[in-house]
Amino acid sequence: MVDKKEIEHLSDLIKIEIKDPQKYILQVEQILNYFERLDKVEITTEDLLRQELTHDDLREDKFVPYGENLIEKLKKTKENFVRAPKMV
Amino acid sequence: MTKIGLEIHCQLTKLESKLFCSCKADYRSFEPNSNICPVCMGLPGSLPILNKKAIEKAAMLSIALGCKIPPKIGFFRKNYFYPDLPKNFQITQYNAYGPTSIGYDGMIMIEDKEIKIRRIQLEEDPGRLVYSGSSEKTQITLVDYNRAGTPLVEMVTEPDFENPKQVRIFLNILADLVENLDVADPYLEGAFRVDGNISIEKGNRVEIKNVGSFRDIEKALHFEITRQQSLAERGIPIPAETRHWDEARKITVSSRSKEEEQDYRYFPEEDIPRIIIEKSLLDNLKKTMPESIMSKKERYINKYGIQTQVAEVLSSDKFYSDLFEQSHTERNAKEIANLITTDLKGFADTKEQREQLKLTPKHLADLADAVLNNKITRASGKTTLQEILKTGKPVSEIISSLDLGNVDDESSLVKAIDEVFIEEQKAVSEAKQNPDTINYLVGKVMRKTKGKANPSLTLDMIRKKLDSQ
Amino acid sequence: MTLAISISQYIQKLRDGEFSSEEFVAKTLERINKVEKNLHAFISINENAIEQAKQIDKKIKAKEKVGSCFGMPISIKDNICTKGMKTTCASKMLEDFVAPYDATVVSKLKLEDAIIIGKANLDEFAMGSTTEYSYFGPSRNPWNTDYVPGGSSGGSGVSVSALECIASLGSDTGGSVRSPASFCSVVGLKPTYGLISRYGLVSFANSIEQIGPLARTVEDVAFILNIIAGRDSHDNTTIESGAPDYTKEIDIGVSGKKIGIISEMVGEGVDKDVQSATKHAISTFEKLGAECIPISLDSAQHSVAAYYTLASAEASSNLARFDNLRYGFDFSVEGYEYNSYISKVRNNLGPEVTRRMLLGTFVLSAGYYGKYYQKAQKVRSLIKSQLVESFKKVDLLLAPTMPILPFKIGEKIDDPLKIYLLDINTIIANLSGIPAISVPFAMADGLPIGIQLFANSLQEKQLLQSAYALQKTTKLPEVPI
Repeated sequence: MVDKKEIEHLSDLIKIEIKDPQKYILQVEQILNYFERLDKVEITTEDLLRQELTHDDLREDKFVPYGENLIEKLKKTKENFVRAPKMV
Repeated sequence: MTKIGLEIHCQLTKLESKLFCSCKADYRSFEPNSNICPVCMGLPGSLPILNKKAIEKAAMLSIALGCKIPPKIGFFRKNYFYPDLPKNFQITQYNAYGPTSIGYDGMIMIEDKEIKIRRIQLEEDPGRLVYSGSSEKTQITLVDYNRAGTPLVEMVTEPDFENPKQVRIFLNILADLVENLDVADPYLEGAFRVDGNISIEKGNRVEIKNVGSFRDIEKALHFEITRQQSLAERGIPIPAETRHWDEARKITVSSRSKEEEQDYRYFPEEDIPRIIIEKSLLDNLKKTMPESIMSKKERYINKYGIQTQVAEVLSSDKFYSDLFEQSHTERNAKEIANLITTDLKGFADTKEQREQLKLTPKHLADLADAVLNNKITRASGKTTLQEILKTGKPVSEIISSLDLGNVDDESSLVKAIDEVFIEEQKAVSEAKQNPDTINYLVGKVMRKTKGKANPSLTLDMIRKKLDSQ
Repeated sequence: MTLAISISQYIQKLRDGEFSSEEFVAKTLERINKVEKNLHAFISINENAIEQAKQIDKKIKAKEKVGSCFGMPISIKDNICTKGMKTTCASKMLEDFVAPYDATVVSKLKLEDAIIIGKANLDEFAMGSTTEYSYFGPSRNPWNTDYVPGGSSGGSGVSVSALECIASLGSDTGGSVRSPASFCSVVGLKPTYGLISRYGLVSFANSIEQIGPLARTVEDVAFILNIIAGRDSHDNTTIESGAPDYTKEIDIGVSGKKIGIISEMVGEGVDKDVQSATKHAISTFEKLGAECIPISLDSAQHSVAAYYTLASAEASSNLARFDNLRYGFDFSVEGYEYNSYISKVRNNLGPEVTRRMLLGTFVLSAGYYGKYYQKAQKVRSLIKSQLVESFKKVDLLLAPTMPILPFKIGEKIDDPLKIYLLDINTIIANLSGIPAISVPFAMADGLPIGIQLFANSLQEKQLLQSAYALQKTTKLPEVPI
């Protein structure tokens, strides 16, 4: 199920340039094969694990300025924009 | 059959803070990247903290649009890379694995057409891209994250619209609705964005994005229908694609077609637990939320006997309905409703007109009562209203200063009638023969008295005079 | 002055005037200087440590209010944000990242006048079990520097074990606090999910991971837990715990307690030295008045598959933000188009991280969601329900922390699946959210063996009490370095 094309597709989705896909093909396939066992498990239990909150527990809608000039601590231009590569 | 569906993104501009952090929801007045914090900047280790009021506002909208609300709502991640997306995923809602968004399966009636609302979901707005650089080599993109994390509701309709006019009516109702509910100001720049999808008979579905103002959507849809129809006439198949609206040229242009649909790999956002939407919360919202347009309309019709057309206009405009609520009594409700929807409309429609309006609820009440009490005719009422808009003076003052008061006493009327009978002898003899033409004489008396003569009394007196001759 | 003391000893001696915070911190830095070239527990050291210690001594002298940590040196795993200090996650992607804010747990420690002595080494983005995947090179086991110290919080385990600090904060996603605790012969706790704020912990698998303390004694771990536990408005996943005092009655003993021995974790596939240590631990507990009975958790056999499915899926999304635009390392965007720039910079992610990103993307991609992700969630629920069932019969569960002894650096690195399977004993706690602790118990060929105890959600007090009782019976050698 895992071939070079699949690795290329995945690496495009995840935006990681993979110079030698061959190296990953075997390992990813081996691990996915290991995951196959999940398919065979008979499950009837309900979803017990989702945490829940009531609407009351939530944050009040108040504007609180961050208080520090955060952009100064990050990568930025003179005018305080963040630079990104050109979009095609 | 033409089928049109809409996807509307509406910012919750009435909130104070962003959806997942306490930065300001309204980013418009800030210097670049000065309305940010670790959360909305997607810094490592930051976590989203959900805004309580966003749930309330979105729930109110769901209720007003007749949607079902699930007992527990949840959030999902939509994963893709883009520079305006600080985490390179958007926290949104998603119903493919079961209904967990704030509203689904709703409906709104426009005229006689049922428009189904597929879903309403809460999500965060990305930042904004600013382009710069002139030469090929130095071109980069600049990003401002002030808007990142601003709360949005996305509303998706079924493709139930049959023509662009219905779309326009719907959007106007929707804009009024969000304003009426105090959920958003749809007229703020960028606050109300509409994408559409459209297919004509036997054609593929085409998406239209980037329609700047929601007033432009009708133009865009018209253009698109024409474009598709001309293709069909020539036997050319209409490709399924995404097109964007070119504001300047007023046409739709094919966007770069993607070979495959983006795989967003939706999965649950576990940093936000499921939120239990208790019945008590919904009941409370229903009680305290501004009355829905639908229910206002029904109330106007049933309680005050206001005509349907009038009730529709009155209920769907928050400003006018507020004016009505503040001025009416049981007795003059119908009169005030008519005053607003026929005489005032056109003079208090825009934001500036409303801000500078000299007319107050008391004016309306006094004016309506004056007409109902036969102090002035309805025609004089129109004149009075114009004067109010100009000067803001009290109704009684205007009536006396412009001498608009009805001429009620018989003696003054007798004089006017006698004069008319002398001036209009031909009409008088005609009226003797044909009673239907009496109104001409009434009209002449009205004119002579500058519209102040009591019309029914005048008619009576003219009849008597004709009979006596 | 010896560095080989517990927290309560430190506080006692400091208050008695045996040493000042500055002296202790200075001695600690001396120690770090001496051993780091052989151990590499730290990625960075706090240059202001002495100065901060001086300030605390001043406060003490002036009889002002001083926090309960009295200037003790603590190391923080380098995936937890420390303001003004680098937080690299042992990755090239964050090589130059100086966190502009403190994680909640760090703020809490600082408020109690702890001194952050340095940032501890880890597997890149906490993905690994041996600390061999660190961009800055592996950490080494102080008991034998040719051997792995466990992971991913290897630096934490090493620094505590080698007396380079008095305690450490690590993070545990699949066993990453307990594995180095076991391999380095220290105590390591993974608390109940939601007990400790994750604000400032760089997310890897956000529905699974928790920050956890490491120290040389159980009592020290309880002390740290008191400081860092509690609901946080910056983290919607933190829960109400009643804020108990975890050190109170820690010596109450285990008389009358029922301890379930997880059958699937003590038989086949377990090193015989580990097996005999486990047997010894069981008999020790019985002598202390507990009843030990076998408990079967057959869903545990699926735990590794479920864990790696879910953790990879979450990782593939959590790490998407590392695009080097707002923070990261020096690499200009000029001349690049967006997609190629992003893909190129992210090529700097190590092979294990890349592997997990690929796996995670795969299991979430169109058409596979039901087969892997949803199935794994269901297995997760199954494991939880089996554990809940078990805790109706017993108070605690027991198993060896690691099925094998520490092994040589480089030995397993080419077989990722083999490394994944080492987590088999620890993972059920992460998947279900229940707390678990590793207690240093035995040695074999000079290499440490840890015994693991599990308790039901929010039962840390009980867990610490039984861990304390077990540790009290041990007499382990001092660290040889």
